[in-house]
Amino acid sequence: MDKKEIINLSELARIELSSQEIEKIQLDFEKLLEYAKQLQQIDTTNIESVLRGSKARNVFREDIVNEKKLNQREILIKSAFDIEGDYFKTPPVF
Amino acid sequence: MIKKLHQKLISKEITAKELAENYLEKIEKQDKEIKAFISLNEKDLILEQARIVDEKINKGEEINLLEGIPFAVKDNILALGTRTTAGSKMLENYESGFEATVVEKLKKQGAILIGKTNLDEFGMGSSTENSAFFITKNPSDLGRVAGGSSGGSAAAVKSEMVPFTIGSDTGGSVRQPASFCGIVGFKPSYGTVSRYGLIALASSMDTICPLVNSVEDAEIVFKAIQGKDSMDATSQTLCEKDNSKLNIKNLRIGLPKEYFEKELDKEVKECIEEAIEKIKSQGIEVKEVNLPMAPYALPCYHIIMSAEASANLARLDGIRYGKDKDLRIENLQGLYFKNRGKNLGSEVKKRIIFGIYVLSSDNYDAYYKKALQIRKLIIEDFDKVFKQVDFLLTPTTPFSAFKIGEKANNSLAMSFSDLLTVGANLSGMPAISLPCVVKQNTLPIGLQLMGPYLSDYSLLNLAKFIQQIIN
Repeated sequence: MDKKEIINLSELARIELSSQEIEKIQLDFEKLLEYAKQLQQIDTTNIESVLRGSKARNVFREDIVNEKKLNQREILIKSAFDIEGDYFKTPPVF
Repeated sequence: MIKKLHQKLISKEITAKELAENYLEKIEKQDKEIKAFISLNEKDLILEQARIVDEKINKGEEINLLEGIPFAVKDNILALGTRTTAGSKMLENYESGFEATVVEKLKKQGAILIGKTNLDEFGMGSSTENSAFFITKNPSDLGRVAGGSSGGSAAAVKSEMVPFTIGSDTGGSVRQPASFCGIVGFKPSYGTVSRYGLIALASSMDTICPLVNSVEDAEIVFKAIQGKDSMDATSQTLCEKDNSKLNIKNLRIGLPKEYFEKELDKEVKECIEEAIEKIKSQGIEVKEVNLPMAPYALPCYHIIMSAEASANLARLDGIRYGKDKDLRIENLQGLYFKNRGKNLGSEVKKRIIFGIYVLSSDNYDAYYKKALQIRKLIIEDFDKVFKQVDFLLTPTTPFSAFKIGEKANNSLAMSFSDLLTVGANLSGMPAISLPCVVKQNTLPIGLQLMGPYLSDYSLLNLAKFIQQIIN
């Protein structure tokens, strides 16, 4: 995998990387991909994909307001980058 | 140990206040060196909770087993009134916005939260060297790692700075440090303990677990934290009854041949084989079995974990949990790039990027989909083997605790310490690591037992029996 591809992936991930980090990731990727290649030895034609080990099924519940948890807003916005009133504030989109 | 402490409390041999003070003193003395804790709760708050327990005892009221017992949680689990850093600079100042269900349950039963323990950033690592803050040392040998990612939780229990801790296990992150430190780490069946309030790494495998001194303690804590929770859609009720009448002598234990092959250190192999002989001498049937997919579990895990992590960690956008207000930022994209670039560690960045790679449309079929299919085959492998035997016995890790720095630059080599543990996460089944002490003056070695999905109580009962005969 070349550097350009790592840079492209880091852009998709919205992560700024230094040139040293790009080199390190490039090296680690080669090892990881080589290691992951083993899976190609197994024929998986017609094998179902599973997303988890447990036999969970989908259930629904009523959307009930938990009065006890209404005061969370104050704590939640405390960690924000910036706020205005009760809103998160971000830099301009463009 | 928990029962003993409880006895001491109700017989008034010690007060809850004294108990809490004793542990806080130990932390003050030892943690400068071991570095298991990222943060401690305020002493006044801890002692006030202890005072309430003492008052109950003095009035002659009955108290719960966990009442007045101090505990700590891994710092990727939210607890009101604490910061939850996940071992990351990104969340250095993040105040827990709500209470994790496990913490709520333990507090309700009267256990006293005293602090938050160190971990590899977001649980990514096997040595706690990837914490953004400091490295936790192994209490058995300060030059060695405590394991990871729940290294702080394991080291705190081993050095008796707290009677029990809560960790999380995605690929072995509780069993591996328990093995490295010489304590018990129990990963329950996926879904039996609510994940609400755990900062997600890989949601289909993350499991909240107790780290304790004995199997009895693991059972006490598991009983206290398990149960369906409306806040976690994947949580469920464990229908299995507390299986204390299990006839252990009739059980069949399988030794998966693939788990005893090449990568195993000689000391580990000898230690486990000695334990196997002791088990056999009790008249229990032990036989070799095959798990042909076992060698594919770790590469399969790497792909699935990275893919899920890349999605879970996308929430770290720098807006809701951002830290740097003084970065020079022109627009929203810049905020994402700079915050994530500056505040995430290199292992985290790599895994997010690898996750995005395996999920991208060009590579999806070859990597992610392939891994999901292999996961199915791995689960089928276990299902088949549990028709031949009731439980599986393996080493927890192929080698014992390594030296600090030894594998720091080779994360793939480090991940081999998860070789024998990831299977239980991919399949969801319960697994426990017990200290397998054979010789004095050697590093701790862990013995792992695994059981069919939702056989948690039977597994704990077998583990209690084995704990007795190997020590």
